[in-house]
Amino acid sequence: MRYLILLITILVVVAVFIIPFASSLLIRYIPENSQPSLDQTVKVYGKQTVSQSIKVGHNGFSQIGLSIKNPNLANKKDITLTVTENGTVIHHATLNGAHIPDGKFMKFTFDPIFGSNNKTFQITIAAHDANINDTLEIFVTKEIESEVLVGDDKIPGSLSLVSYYKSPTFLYPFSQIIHNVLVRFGLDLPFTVSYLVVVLGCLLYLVLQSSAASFLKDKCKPILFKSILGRINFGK
Amino acid sequence: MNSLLALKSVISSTSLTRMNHFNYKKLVVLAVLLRLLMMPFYFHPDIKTYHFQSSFLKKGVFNIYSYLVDNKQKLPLKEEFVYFPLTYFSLGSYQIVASPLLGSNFTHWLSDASASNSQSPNIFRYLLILKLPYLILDLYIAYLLMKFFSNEDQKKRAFILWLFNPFSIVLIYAFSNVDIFPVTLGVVSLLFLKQKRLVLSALLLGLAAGFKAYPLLFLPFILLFVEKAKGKLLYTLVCLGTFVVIIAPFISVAAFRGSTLISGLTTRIVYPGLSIGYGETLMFSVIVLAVLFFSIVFGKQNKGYEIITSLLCLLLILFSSIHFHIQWLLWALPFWVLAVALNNKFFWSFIIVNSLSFLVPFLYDDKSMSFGLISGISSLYNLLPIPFAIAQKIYDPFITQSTLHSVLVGLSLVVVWQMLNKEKI
Repeated sequence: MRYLILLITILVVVAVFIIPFASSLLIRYIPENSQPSLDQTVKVYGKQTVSQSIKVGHNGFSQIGLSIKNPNLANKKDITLTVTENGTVIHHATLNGAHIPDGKFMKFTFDPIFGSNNKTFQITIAAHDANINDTLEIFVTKEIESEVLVGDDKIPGSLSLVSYYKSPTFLYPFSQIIHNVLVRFGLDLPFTVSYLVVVLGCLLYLVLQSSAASFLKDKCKPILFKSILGRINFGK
Repeated sequence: MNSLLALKSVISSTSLTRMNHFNYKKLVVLAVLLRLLMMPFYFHPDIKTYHFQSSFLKKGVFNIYSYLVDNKQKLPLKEEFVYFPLTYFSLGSYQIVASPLLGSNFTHWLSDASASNSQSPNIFRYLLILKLPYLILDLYIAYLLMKFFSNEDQKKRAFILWLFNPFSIVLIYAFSNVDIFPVTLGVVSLLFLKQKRLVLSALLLGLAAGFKAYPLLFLPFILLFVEKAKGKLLYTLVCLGTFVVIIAPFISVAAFRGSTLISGLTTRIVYPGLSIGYGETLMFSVIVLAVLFFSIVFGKQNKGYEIITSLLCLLLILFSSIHFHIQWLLWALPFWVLAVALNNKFFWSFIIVNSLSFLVPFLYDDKSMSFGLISGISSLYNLLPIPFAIAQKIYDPFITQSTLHSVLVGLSLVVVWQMLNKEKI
């Protein structure tokens, strides 16, 4: 039974500390924003492409996430996302409709663009092989004041997208997570203080009650004290 | 030299794991500490959903079932309330009592249906306070389980097994399992049954059913252990009468019937079956439950603790034969603890059956079965692929789930056979 207690103690420590840390090492791409509302859709097929500008806030811009409708899963053709800067094509990324469930959030991934912080890029989504019977539809939000170019027409709003940047180091996501947790604890100080007092109080109680502590208290102090006294020469 | 000897003496006689005497207080403090470490950081969205629904009690809403259906369009969270009325009244009342601790932003957080609700600055506070009743009931169950025994070793085993098993800690504090309410009442009911206080036992079983219907499954089996027809009749009337009194105000409400009586456990018991034509279906779960029931009826005369193994066998059979929610595994845990405390040879069955039972739902296509549970710490964890998605890249996850569930069935049947054939408890 004592081994069960030790095992469970270890498991909880793993669950609270190790699992979040280890899981954070698996995070490669970090979102810059939450996905805005999905208010309407625009069709992408044939010559009708969808474009807009986005401003990126971090270095290592390397993913765009979008919700894409594939009605009746009809489309099984390629859809491409092109990233351009000042008219120059920087990257392409391609997905295939066969792997796009209707309404699913899909990510276009490309090589990280270093030095992308504070730069504006043009993204263009195209499905040239699709026709009117197997269009893909991209969600647009009205939450953001911007313009989306659909074919030759401009519509108000913005693509309901999430931009991601590649984590510069393995530990970067964990550092962001810790920072976020500490900030949130800091914003709720009364709770944080109370919580720490209770947790540390329990810990202190356990330490004081432990066999090592009581042994040290009962047995070790006199022995050490005698030993120290024995070394002191009282003028002999 | 003497100080070296002293140090050597400390090292040789101190062991991190050695307990010279059984210190209940120390174990309780350790158990509380471990739970306090988990409570603020593990977030299952169900806790927010049912607390959002229960928050309408303080606004004077009595019939939550109709209210949610009638106001579905304007409510931010659209789920139905799938529990029985006592869950609503208990959680709603607790919110009223705890509102000074929860703060003024709590109601706003409950209504926040956006993806960023898990990043609220107060979420750690909310999760800890909302799970406080679970902590109290969890510790109370440990105390109750000890009361089943007069033997000191069995008391200690039950106490330690309940407080220091990974399954109850994960189910209650990671999955925020509100089933802790009927589980506690079920254990108290069983204790009163053991003490032959039939009316109290029946009343509490009825109250447990007022939270969730599953305790009613125990009734036929409990009646086998109640002596005399008069006692059986009294028990049935008190138990079912209590349950009927609780649901009576809502029974005529279609929304109540739709979201509680005809959902979840009920449909999963009834629907898996074999059609034999003419509109009839042989229901697999009902068949195996009937086999269990009648094997106890026609088996040896039962006394003492065999009610525990009967109810445990009932739940093992149930989970084996249906697509179960992971939260339901909590129902069986007190019985497992009692069985293992009585006979340690069931310890490894306890570990293996429950580990397998956890693995099956772990592979469901549900974000909140894995990394989603730590999304309260950071929404970045939602970016990680769920086990279902990882399994899809290797092999069909449904076949993997089915294989694991089938192994669970086989193992459960063996354990049930062992328990019924009197590996004497």
